[in-house]
Amino acid sequence: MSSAAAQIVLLREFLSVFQGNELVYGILLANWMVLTGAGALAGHSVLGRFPRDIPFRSVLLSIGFLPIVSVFLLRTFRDSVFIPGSMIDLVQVVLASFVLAAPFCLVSGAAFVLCAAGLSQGTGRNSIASVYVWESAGSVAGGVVFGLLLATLLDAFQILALLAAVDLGILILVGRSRSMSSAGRACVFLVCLVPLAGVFLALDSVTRRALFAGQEVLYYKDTPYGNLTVTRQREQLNVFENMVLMFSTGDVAANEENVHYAMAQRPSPRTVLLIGGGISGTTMEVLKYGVDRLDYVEPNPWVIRIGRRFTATLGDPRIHVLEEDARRFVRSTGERYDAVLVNLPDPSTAQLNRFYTLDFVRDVRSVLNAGGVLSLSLLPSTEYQGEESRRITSTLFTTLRTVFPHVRIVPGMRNYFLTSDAPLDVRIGMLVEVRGVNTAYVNRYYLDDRLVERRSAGLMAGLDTLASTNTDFAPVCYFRQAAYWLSYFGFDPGPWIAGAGIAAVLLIFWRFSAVDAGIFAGGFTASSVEIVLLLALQVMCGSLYQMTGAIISVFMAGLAAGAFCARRRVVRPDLGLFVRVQLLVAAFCIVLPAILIWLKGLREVSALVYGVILFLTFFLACLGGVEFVIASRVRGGSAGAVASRLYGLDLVGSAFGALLASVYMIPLLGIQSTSVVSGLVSAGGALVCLAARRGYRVPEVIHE
Amino acid sequence: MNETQTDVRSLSKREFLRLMCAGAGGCLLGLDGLRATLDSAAATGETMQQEELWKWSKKALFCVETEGGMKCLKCPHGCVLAPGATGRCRNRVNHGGTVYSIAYGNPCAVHIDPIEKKPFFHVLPSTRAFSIAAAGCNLRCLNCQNWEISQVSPRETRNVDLMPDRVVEEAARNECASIAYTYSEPVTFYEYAYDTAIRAKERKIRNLWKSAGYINEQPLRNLCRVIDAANIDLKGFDDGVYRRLNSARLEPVLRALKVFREEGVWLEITNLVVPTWTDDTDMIRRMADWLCENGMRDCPLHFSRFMPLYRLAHLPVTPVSTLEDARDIALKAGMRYVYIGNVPTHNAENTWCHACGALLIQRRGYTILKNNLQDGTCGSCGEVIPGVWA
Repeated sequence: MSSAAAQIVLLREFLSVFQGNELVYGILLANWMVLTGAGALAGHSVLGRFPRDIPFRSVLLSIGFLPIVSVFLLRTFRDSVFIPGSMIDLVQVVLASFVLAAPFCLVSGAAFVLCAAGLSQGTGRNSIASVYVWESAGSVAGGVVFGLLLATLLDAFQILALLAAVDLGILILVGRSRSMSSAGRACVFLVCLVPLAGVFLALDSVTRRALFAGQEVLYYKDTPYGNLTVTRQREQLNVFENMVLMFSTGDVAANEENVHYAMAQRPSPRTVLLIGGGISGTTMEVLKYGVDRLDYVEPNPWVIRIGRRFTATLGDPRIHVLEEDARRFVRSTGERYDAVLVNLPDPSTAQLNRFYTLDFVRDVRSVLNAGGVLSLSLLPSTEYQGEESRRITSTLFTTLRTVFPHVRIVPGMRNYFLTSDAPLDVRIGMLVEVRGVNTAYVNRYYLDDRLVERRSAGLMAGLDTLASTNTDFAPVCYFRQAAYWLSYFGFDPGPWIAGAGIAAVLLIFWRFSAVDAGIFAGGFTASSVEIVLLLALQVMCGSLYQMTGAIISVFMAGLAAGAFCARRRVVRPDLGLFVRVQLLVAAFCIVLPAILIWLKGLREVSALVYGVILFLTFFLACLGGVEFVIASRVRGGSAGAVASRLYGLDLVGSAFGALLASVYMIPLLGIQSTSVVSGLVSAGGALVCLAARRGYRVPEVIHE
Repeated sequence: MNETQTDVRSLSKREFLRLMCAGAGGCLLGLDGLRATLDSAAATGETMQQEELWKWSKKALFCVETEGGMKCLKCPHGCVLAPGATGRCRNRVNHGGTVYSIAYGNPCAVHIDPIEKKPFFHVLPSTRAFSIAAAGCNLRCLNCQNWEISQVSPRETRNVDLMPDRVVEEAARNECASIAYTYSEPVTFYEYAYDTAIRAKERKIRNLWKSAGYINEQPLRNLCRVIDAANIDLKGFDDGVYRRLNSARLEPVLRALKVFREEGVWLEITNLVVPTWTDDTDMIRRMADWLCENGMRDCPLHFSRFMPLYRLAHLPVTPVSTLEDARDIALKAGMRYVYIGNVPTHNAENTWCHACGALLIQRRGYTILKNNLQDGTCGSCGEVIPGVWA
């Protein structure tokens, strides 16, 4: 339970301090699982050297204590280890997260082995399955209680302090019948101090101030979409999401560009839909056109709260603030608009990518009046487009061009994509003057129409006309965006990831048994398909981050349920059954795309889609749980050794699955093909076990 | 246009291990060490293998032979290039014992801009500058606006075949009063810019140098014979800031500023005010004092507003009042023409007579609304206003 909750809190911290894109998320998750797996693999041999009681106490103490230390170090030393204000590159992300997560992950991985070996010794039979059930059930509880319920009420240090208190309570309960050494008492005392310090010394606000040197932190909130912070620097307010600046107040140029390029296209726009960015002052710019109605949807509802509390941008009665998922709103609204303005950050995450897909653009077209204009922006506009930015720009252009006959790009501070079913004009200076709108920056004084036309034409002429479209089920933009981000550092992680994957597979075949390979493949398939389901749900129903916790909890519950059932029913080693379950997983993955296509057709019925996807997740996880239990029966060796290997390899396989699926397979193959490929990996694991069937001997000793 | 060619880089095993150790150590111990090590590796030119010469390769100026290889004397880095190696600027390669500039006549960015955009506020107001850039830079600024051309080699960009004669022809054809060597870092395409400037001068087209000013004295003095005006980014007034934010040093830039003045090149200075890095009022005061003490009080000083870009994305925009304070400090120190950039409609876009305080040039963006200069003098009091006005 502690592990799951600490994982949620720590990963969220890493994401808010590092760049929160999909690649970083995948790498953090992979790092986490590899380290935990390594802890499990190493745990058996390392912990076996200590007297039985000592590791258990130390492990529990460490699990409570270490996450607090990690978060403290992460926040306090961010600006002294790395360059203040700068992005942290991928290698640094890998190394820093490795160093900070390693102590906790290694210990928590070892804890599983310790419990399995201890319980097996206590009961005199193989109790790996029982520990697995309890571990999964604890993860559900930890995820739901700490990750979902308390996340919005308590800050990171308070949650971690509570967790430490729970661990301490368990330690006292377990240890009360035994005499405790003075060193043990001192440790307990120390751990008692940490939660107290976390709560009473306001560590959260102290450490957060260290992250925003030179600014007064007015507000911060860990929302399901990321951390939001509002700071003041002199007269200016700054709003950060995951430490990346969303906007600063008084940035007139950005506000005007976000609005006037599109709004000036038509003589008198009456109804406008604004998606994102309203509280920076864009609403005020829209109202300059004397519109009848401005509907404003913000993907993160907490941003609205910030707007209401810190700005005066939402007070006009013509502004209708809608606190719901923007994509769902576009699909369900009966309103029609003369302009739809999308002011969101670049599609660096699956969540943001939803607003740059063909499916979204089609939905928008259906709510636009004849001649209505859709505006999107992408990347800073520079004097030259590098290869990666050209690819993203081309992808978005092709996507828009598929739906609308007219697409123009206006190079401003960012590249603004204007699109409509009627002709468009990039002579913005002239248009703004004709409309009689009073602007500070978007006007002929700053924009020379001839030069803008020339640059726009040059930009569009350089695009790749054969670029693929960005769709919900094949979200290529966020892959391209990750590649663009990587080009900041001139580093391509692809060969490294591929090399690590090949090395892991070779190592497994060289050093481990067929069952080990099977469980590695099982971990890979389960985690990659879990991400497929997560994205599918997000695509069809919206709000990825809100659902992440739910999907993970349902997945863990499925693991627990599957393992619980199998624990009773599978008492004898049966390699054939292991192979059949693997093939069933493969079949599930191969059929899944058809189910997803069917569901996509039913997306109006959100409840049904939710229900089916959660059920599919549960079912997949059940199979995973069953697989693990059978593997624990089939695999020969002592309980500690078996637990160590299986748990470790399951996690390492999961790490690769999560990383490859989120970073490469989904954006490049699409979610349907990813599911099929993952199924083939599971089938591959089954084939390996099938091939090893002849030489297989039923294990004799299965406990310590 | 020639298509992009991938830069083939191969590391020796020893070099690879060294860089990996530097990377790991740097991440654990702090970035300064990492960047310094990586930079020094790049500066010695050991890591990049050079490809075959191409049409746009031109024998580089200011190189001498040393024991370790050819030493480039163009900028303070002083890269020593072994055969096959590429300089830190990514623009100079040692091919068979001779150093070549590989960006001669193949710019990757060619635009026409209002001259005010550079910014030049005391040079030919309201005219257009034919602007060119080739890829590469000898600095590594974390907030580089044009990192897609400055942090790559000319072999990695999509370039235009535009030899010096054609640059001048195009500038004339588009009625540009000047040619600006800009966007990336013209020091890296020195030979190309130099030859173009000579031809432009013959056609009475002015030459504008927009640069970080990281150049050695002799190349700079030679350059000053052919250029008319320079706008130098003085990125801060602290050597530590230069090292961490730009991977360069302050002193060579200050020396370059003095040389520009000595050689009679019209000089304007831009200072980007980056929150927490270069917004310290003491630092700004020291900078303004130094400029005044070194005869640059007449040089327009542009305080520019920082926008989070490239790798410096975790900082806020510069508050307008910070820029206004910086301007006040500089004016009090004795600077005569201090402007604020990237803040639309700010009053400090205008030029005021330093003698009588009259409004001389009223600007709005890149447009001149009012010009009260008369043959380079104040229309009210007759004071000579420094600049290149005609």
